[in-house]
Amino acid sequence: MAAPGIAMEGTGARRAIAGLLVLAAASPALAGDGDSDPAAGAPATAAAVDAAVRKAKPGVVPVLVATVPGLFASGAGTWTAGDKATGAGLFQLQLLGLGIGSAGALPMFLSGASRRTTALTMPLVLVGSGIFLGSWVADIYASATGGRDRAAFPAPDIEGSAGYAYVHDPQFDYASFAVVDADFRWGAWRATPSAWIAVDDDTQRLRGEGAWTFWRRGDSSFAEARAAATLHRTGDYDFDVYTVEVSALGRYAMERLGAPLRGSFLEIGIGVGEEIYRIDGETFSVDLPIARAGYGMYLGRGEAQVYYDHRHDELTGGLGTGLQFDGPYGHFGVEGMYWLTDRWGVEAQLEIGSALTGRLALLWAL
Amino acid sequence: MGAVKLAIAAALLSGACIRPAEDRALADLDIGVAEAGGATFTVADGHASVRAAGSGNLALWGQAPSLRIDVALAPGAETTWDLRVFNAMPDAVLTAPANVTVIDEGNPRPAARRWTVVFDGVEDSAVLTIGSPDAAMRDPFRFAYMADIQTGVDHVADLFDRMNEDESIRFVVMGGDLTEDGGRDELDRVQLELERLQVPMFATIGNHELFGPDRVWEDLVGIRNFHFEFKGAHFTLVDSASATLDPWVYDRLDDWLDVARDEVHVLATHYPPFDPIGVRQGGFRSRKEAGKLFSLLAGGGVDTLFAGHIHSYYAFEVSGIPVYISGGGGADPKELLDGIDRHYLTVDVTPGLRIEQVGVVRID
Repeated sequence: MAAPGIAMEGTGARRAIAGLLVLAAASPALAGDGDSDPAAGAPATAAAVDAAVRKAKPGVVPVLVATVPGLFASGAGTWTAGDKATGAGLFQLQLLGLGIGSAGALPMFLSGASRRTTALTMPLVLVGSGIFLGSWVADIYASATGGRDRAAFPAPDIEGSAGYAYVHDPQFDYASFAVVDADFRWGAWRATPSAWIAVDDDTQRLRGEGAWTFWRRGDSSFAEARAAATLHRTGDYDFDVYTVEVSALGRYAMERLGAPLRGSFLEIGIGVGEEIYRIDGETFSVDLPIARAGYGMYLGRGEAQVYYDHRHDELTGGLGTGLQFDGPYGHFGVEGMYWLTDRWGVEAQLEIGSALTGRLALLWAL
Repeated sequence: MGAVKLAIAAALLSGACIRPAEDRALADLDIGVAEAGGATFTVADGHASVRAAGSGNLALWGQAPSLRIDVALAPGAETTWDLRVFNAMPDAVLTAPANVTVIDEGNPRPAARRWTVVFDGVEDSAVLTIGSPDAAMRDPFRFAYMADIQTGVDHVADLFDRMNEDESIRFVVMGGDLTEDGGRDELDRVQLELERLQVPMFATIGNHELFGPDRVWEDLVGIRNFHFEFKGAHFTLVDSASATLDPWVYDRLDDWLDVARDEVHVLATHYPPFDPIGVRQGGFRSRKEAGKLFSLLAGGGVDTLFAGHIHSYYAFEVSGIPVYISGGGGADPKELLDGIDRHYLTVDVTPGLRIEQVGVVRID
């Protein structure tokens, strides 16, 4: 379920981890641009924000610039809108992503994705790609909005979610799932049990996730470590999958990079799991890469984000393009949640990959 | 209207993303049919592509050791035909009804056969069968397996020459990626190299063939998803070039598993359903689908799965089924630090019993 604000959503309880924040510490771009106070973790001062907003003039042209050339020169849109400092910061962020990704991709290519080195190179590729693409989406956001005065909405100590998911996967007979999950929070700790139960097929996915937020700032940035266990049962094909995993996920409040990015955040996660398949009475185990990159925005009483999820083990697996290199890619999605009252809210999610998955749920807080 | 168009476009896009191999699977249905000179030739199960068809001549590229050709003659149809079958068993014989005259014209190349066929006594239809004389004898035999030639085409003759030294190899099963970019020139070049191979090579496609137009494979090789039997052992080759099998292929697979349930059954495909180095994710795009496939194969009694795509060699087991990944055809980049370079596999089969052994033949 998606949780508001700085508490992580647990939908799919996915995913991931790592420390963009750790990586970010080495980046001049992410260390702040003078509009913020990194030491205090406080957002930019009102005067500085006002000055930056006056500089940036969002519009169609900046969005177009951010979208097309911006993919290869992030910050071009924000620069065009008039905020050169933030534009330059986004470009630095993109270069950081390119550098990290290249540090993994180059040796991976040269070694033919060697079994001896892939565990080291693949995380760099995934984190670098996430930062690279995140900087691109950030530029589009800044060029379109010029920054929004929205902050993370506080998460309740206990929240539950119940809903319906439609999964179109031509490989399986199921289509309709009842989905329930809950978040229990105690300070820096969170527990998130969840269940996806097919109502038209003999398929169930049960998951328990625990998380510890080990780093947090007042601007909604945080990093947390996660551990999870999942049972996926496919009765019609008589196989079960047991998964254990550890991961870390960081959220970075993008306003630290510049006023036109106010109200948005970048998430990067990385981790690893081990899957144990029980098929026809035999077991087979294989490791599982976990990575996620998302870019989101706060909605006042909720939030929404677009994301890339590298997982291939969920109901939505990797994207198929019909082009030459299908297989390694994960899937894309968009999700959001909004608290209609202090007690009730709604949540929605759409993913496309090996399956097309849509989910609607009702939230309640205690 | 704009919203409707956008919705239609999104639906088409999502359909293409979710079933990327559907068009290729359905194209298999059109393989192996030729009309010329008043005659219609239909190769059963799409086991050969039509390389040329004109009045009085027909050229095929075989994708199985044995072929069955249904011939339908219209009134006034050409009665004398020059039939050439490339990629054929070198000892293949053509069997026809008594009212058809067959003249053996020899082997234009080691793995090619040629006949003159005269339908003078045929009223409207006939069935021709082509295959090795011992194809139905259930005695032990050997075949070779390889994949991933791609950029290694300039030196692939090394592999073929080594295979030729082993006269016990009856044919080669190829797990895809014959070419780097799937172009017609490239595939022509591979088939030119194949002229030196003494036995036929039956192949499914790999992801590198997807760079070229679909027609290239269909014209020059033919079918992508198929099943054949040789000496009582069953072989199934399926198209996983998009890191998935199309649902239509699973329907066919159900049938093939049924007919081979009590026999030796070998499955070959390009992508390994699971990459044993999981963090690399070189297998199917959905691990749930990989689990489903192995559940079906285990239930169907499949004996061994051969794959390629990863330019190295791995042997492991999933659900009791030995899995061999062999991408040693010469493609770059080769996996480093793996202790193996170019290679192919030899597989000894005792029909009705088991796979006796899988050997690795190193070239470098």
